[in-house]
Amino acid sequence: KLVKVIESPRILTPFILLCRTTNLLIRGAMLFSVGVFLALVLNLLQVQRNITLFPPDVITSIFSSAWWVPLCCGTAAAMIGLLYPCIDSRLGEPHKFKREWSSVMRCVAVFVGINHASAKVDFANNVQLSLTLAALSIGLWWTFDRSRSGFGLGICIAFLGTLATQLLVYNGVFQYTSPDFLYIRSWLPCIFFAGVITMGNIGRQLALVRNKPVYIYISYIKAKQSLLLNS
Amino acid sequence: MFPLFSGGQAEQLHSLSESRREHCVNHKAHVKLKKPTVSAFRGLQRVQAREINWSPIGRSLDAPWRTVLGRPVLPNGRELTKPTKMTLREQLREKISAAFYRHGLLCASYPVPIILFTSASILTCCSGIRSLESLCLQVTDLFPGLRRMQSVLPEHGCLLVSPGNYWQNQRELFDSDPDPLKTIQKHEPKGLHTSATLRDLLFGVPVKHSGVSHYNRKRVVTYTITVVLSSYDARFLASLRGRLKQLHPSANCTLRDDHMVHVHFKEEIGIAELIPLVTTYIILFAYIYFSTRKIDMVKSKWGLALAAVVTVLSSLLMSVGLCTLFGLTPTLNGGEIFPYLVVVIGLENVLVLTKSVVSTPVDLEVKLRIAQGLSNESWSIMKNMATELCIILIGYFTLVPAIQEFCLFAVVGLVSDFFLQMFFFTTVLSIDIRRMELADLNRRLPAEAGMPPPKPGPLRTREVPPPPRPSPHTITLQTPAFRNLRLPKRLRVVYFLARTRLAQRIIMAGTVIWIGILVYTDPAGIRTYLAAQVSEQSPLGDPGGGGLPPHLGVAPVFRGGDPTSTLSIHRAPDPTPLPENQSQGHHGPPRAGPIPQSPPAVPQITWGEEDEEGWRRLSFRHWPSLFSYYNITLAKRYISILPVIPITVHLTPQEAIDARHPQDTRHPQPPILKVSADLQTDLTLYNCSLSLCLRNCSWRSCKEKSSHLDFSFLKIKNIFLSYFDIECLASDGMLLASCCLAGQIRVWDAQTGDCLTVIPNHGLRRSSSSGCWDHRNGWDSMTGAQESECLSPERDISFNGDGLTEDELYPVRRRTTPSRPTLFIDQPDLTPLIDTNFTSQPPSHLSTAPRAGFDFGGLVERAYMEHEPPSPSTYASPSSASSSPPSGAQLQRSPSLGEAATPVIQERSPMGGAQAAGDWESSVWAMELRGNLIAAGRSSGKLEVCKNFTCHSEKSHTVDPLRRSSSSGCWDHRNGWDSMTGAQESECLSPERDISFNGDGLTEDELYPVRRRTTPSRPTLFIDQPDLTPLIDTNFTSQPPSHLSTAPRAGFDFGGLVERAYMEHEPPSPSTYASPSSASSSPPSGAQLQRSPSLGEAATPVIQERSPMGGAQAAGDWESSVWAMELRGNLIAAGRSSGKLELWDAVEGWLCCSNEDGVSGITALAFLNNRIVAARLNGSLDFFTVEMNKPLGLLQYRGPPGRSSMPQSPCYSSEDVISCQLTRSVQCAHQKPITVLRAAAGRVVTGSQDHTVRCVISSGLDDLICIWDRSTGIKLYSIQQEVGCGASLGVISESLLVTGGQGCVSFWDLNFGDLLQTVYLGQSSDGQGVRQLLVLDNAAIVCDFGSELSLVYVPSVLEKLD
Repeated sequence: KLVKVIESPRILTPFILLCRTTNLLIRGAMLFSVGVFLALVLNLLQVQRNITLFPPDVITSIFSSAWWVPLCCGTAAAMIGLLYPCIDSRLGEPHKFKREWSSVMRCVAVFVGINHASAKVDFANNVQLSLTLAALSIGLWWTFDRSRSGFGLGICIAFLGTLATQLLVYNGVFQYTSPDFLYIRSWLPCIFFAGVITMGNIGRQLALVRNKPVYIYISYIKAKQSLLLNS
Repeated sequence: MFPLFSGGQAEQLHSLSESRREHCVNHKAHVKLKKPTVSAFRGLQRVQAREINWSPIGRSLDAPWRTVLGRPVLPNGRELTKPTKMTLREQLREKISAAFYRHGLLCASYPVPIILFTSASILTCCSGIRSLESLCLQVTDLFPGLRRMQSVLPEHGCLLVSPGNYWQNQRELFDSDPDPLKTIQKHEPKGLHTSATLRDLLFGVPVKHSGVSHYNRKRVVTYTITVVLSSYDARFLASLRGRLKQLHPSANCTLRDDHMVHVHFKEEIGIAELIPLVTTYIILFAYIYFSTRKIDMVKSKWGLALAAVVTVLSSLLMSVGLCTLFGLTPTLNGGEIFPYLVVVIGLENVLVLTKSVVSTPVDLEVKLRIAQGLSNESWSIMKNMATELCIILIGYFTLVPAIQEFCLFAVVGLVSDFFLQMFFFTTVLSIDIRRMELADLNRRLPAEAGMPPPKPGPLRTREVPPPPRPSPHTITLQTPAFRNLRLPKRLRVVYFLARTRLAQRIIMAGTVIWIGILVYTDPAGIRTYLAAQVSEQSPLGDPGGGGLPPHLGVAPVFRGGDPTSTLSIHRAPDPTPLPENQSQGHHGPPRAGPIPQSPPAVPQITWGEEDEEGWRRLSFRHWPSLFSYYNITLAKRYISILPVIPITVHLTPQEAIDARHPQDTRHPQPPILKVSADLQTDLTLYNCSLSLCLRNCSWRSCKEKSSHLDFSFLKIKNIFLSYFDIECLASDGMLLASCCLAGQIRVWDAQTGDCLTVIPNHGLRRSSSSGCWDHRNGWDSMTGAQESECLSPERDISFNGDGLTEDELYPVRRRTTPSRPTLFIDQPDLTPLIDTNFTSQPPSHLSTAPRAGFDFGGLVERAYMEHEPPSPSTYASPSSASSSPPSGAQLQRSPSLGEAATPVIQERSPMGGAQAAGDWESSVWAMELRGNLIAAGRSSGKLEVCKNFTCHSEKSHTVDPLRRSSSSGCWDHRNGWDSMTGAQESECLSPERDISFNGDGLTEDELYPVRRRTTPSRPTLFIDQPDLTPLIDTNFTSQPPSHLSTAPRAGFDFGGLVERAYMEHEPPSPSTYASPSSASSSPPSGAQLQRSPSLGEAATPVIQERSPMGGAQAAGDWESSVWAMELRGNLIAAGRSSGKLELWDAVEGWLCCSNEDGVSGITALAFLNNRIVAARLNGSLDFFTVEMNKPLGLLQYRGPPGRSSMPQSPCYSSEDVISCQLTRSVQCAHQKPITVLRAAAGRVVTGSQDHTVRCVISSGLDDLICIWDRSTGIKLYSIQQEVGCGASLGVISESLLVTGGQGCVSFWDLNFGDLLQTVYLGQSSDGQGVRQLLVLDNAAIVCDFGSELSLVYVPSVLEKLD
């Protein structure tokens, strides 16, 4: 009897781990693809406006940016999307605000809209552009996130992202046609921020969806198992 | 008052009154109920009905809130008098709510007029009517590279194209032209040209139809004069037509005057530009999809979803129209901002509205429902709208023109969306709800009518399947998950295609994408289309009919002139082409003599239908190239080809000869006047094709469905107020019992889904109606309150009294004997283990000895505590709490005691987490329901059998508690038997226990010999164990006052909701104490009771240090929890974790036989005919044969179920002739390469049916369903299920297997393993997996989605298959 009791956790633990790992991988992959896709599409907008310039050997339409840009964006998206639910669970405050796919879709649409606006709308000057975008981004956060952790993380990652971009530009990997401020397009942080919020939103939703059955299942097993163990 | 909830617990009642309040005061939505369901409504319904009756009365004892608030309430939810103290916000809220309420009433009362009104206003707004000056299209310079055409094409004036242009519209030039044909040829470019040449342009007809050549035998020359107007002006055209007719009266013309053709030129879009927009639209569609998917509980989901989308879209159109009306010319690309507008406006309000309306009680009138729903959500809707308006207004002040424009559109769109929600959507919703009502009524009638007759057979209570019911839910058929099937490949492909309806899906997707692209290309075209419809319907007579939003017109550079003046202008060029020498008539002699102007003799040129279509013969580059000469793009514009004005000019030979210069070119004059303006879409085309396609699809799917199986489903979802997952389900066809992790058992009506009984785990003492249930409550569901109650002696006493005096529960007379300390550890007969918690240790200085565990079940959490007097010296006994004499003060204090205990728990739990987890023990792990018996196997190893009285208890209080106690007494004993804990053993040690027990057994139904009470001085003797006391009571055995150090161990278990704690008492330093048992009987002192919480706190640290020590021991004691149970007839088969299979007599409650052939725990059981299939933990399947030679239930065994009946004895009673033998065993039924999974697997859930089928179905935690041949034990095939759904399967009929998936159920052909159909239950969006699935006799399936239940009726399946 005891043997049985003892052996069950040994068996179950890897199983649970397996569940979690696959779950994580799937989520990561989904987020990555979303990130890549958004990066391609949004870059297209920027390219149309001739804001970013890449070496001329690029193919015309979709892959108008360097190959590594979408990959970087995808990786970043995956990381952010996994980071958010993780931080939520760390902080012990699960994000409950508007946890629905429709809301997430709305968020993504607004994010694309912000990009669209930044690319297509003529602003009088860059300050106006930046201010407007900042307001829009914060509006996005307020509408769809409203969590302090989300805000903080967004700010941090936006900062880091801007820094990284600036380094790239500084090293001549690519360049903007008309840098606004210290080689940076002034709207970049806002876009980063909005993107982080969006990806975080998606990631949280994914975590919610993918976790539920597994967790229920695991907790179910665990309950029985711990009962066995302790009795 | 609440018959339906008579078993309710505190939370439930509370929530009930909560919801009632909301209905009456009407200011808060109770959408908190996540998915209100039909059954939930029905459950509420009676209550509601009553409320309706009493709410006008204003005051009622049942509504304490009202007396508190002191406001009389109108039936419609508004208040007569405003309470004096209301904040501004509340007032606002009230007002808004009231207004919405009235509005809802209005909408629901007059749906049709309101819809008409709404659509009229939409149309009005959309056609931002603007009377337009008729103008011909003024052109400026030719495109720079076309100088050579300068002489031919008009410049700086109206664009008027005719062959006369070759001669600069001057007759003199023409007359002096020696060879017009050569002139014409001169301008032709060299080389091969497929596109429109200049000649095509000028003649307006294809060259070969023009007849301008040397070889024209018919002598008919056709050409057109094209006047390009920038907008349509009917008056101008009419006068032009009249004038021309007057000049050249032409006969037999069958052309219609009002035929207008709109040619739309799409925009040229680069793929690069398209991609982001397509992305946007995809996101938009996803948004709409996910939003509308949430619409539930309505008659037609699709209809409402469509209405929601229409609401948003038409609000956008309205906003565009309105903006246009007020002179705002949109400069943004409509297609680009359209999705963003939709997203900004959003569908949320609509959904919220739907939800709120749907969650109002069903039995109200539709009007009232709508009104209530509206007013419930009024505040949030207004708040949302205000917020959005604010945000958008902020956006307006960015002072960026584009954003400003966007914001303006959005604001107007929001407002008009609000308008549409209020008028259009609400009305549509009311109509839908009304339809729903009817359907609901229809469905309810047969269900209620069919309720009463219970069939004699215990197994099959209902043979007639309920009539097929209209399914209120859409059933989506989707691609099934990956499954292993043994099918030929070719068949598999076919099935795959058929199943997934691949073709239809592709077509659908293509259509959607196509629409998307088209809409993208010109979403603005929609409204133009509308306008065009308007103008087309008023057949050309309306001068303003062609209302075009001006922005659509050609660039504003071209200014139009006055129609009349234009007319005069146009008149001039008209005659120019005329003066040709020509002959005419199809058959007329080429050179006839002079013929009068209107010659009847001359064969007439007829204008027929084919001429009407003349424009079709033109090259498709015709118009673009013409306009491209002027650098005007037609992209995204329209050309409307106005009706042809036919003119026939006959030239007599004489005239021809007169006019002949040197040449003889013939030009008959049928000038086709073409007026092109920018107009109108070809969206009609889309519509046709779209609807066609859709119809096609639906037809096909219908056909396919009918060729397969005709399922009709009805789903009833039940909401569990507990937050816990449903652990097990059982049913006997009419009733359905479910048990959640918390140990709460609910009994449902399987037909209607009504909750009949709740057997809560919390010991809320329900009044007399169902005594036995109370007892059961007492068993498993200890909450803090309950415990505190149990702590007070009165409670216990009264409890005991229940057994004796039937419904009068609380004999207060016992209160009069407060001074007897030691005697009353009454354990009421049905009291479960839990009561044992309150054992009192003898008042000794034993520091560690007296530990008493308490657990307090909150709803979600359950805490568990032990009481151990750390400094036991001064206190007589903590246990005295339970036995302390009743004093009112104590009773009152007891709740606080519970409260006081809770904080301790919280701080405890992190520390003792592992321990706590281990302690939750006796949740119900297996349950069976048959007849009116409910058998529940607990994890603590107890078997409980309860009569399911409560189902009937509402109607008749026939339950005789006395009889019951006697009849089910044996069951308690059984409980006692198997669930031996350490405590039990300790009981055996105490002699008193045995004595009392025996005594009880002797005096049969009179349980509590009160005479013992009279002997208060005997401390050790009276641990009364009423005969019905389960083992648990034995916990309170008192040890003889001995110094035996190890002897007194008392086990306690505390069933928490989720977890269950269990403890052992072992006095570590037992030396000094006379008797621990005296604890329970310690004299009542109020002071002690008050101290007990602190005592509990003090005790806790000790526990922690204790538990590690006693762990191994504890493990040994818990040997056999019931893991599986089956009930068939009056035979209960219980599979234990020890691997033992036991057969019990359900009526008498003794163990018939047991089989210990297996070692590993039995995880599932199933009855076959006379076989029992048992699945074991190690994945093996055992087949047992049961032989019974004697009918069961004849014997009356009265004696105490002795200790000898510990599970070790295979055959308990010699009279029994039931034997059980292992006949066959399949090792490793579930094979999986990964041992990890396999060991966890093998939880066989169901053995299949009993009749003809030869297979046994098993499923395991590896989510693999295996179908076995019963006789041979060979695996036929297996089905891979979705993760977590391994346990869910059932067999409906002989050849139909149903399995659960993520939010769906799949039907399989049992014989071949084909997937027949997958039915999505429209469940929670996250697709909870079906955890368990149960098939009822009436072809209903009960699915357990974690905390929800779904009832799915598949009546037609049975009809079809059986």
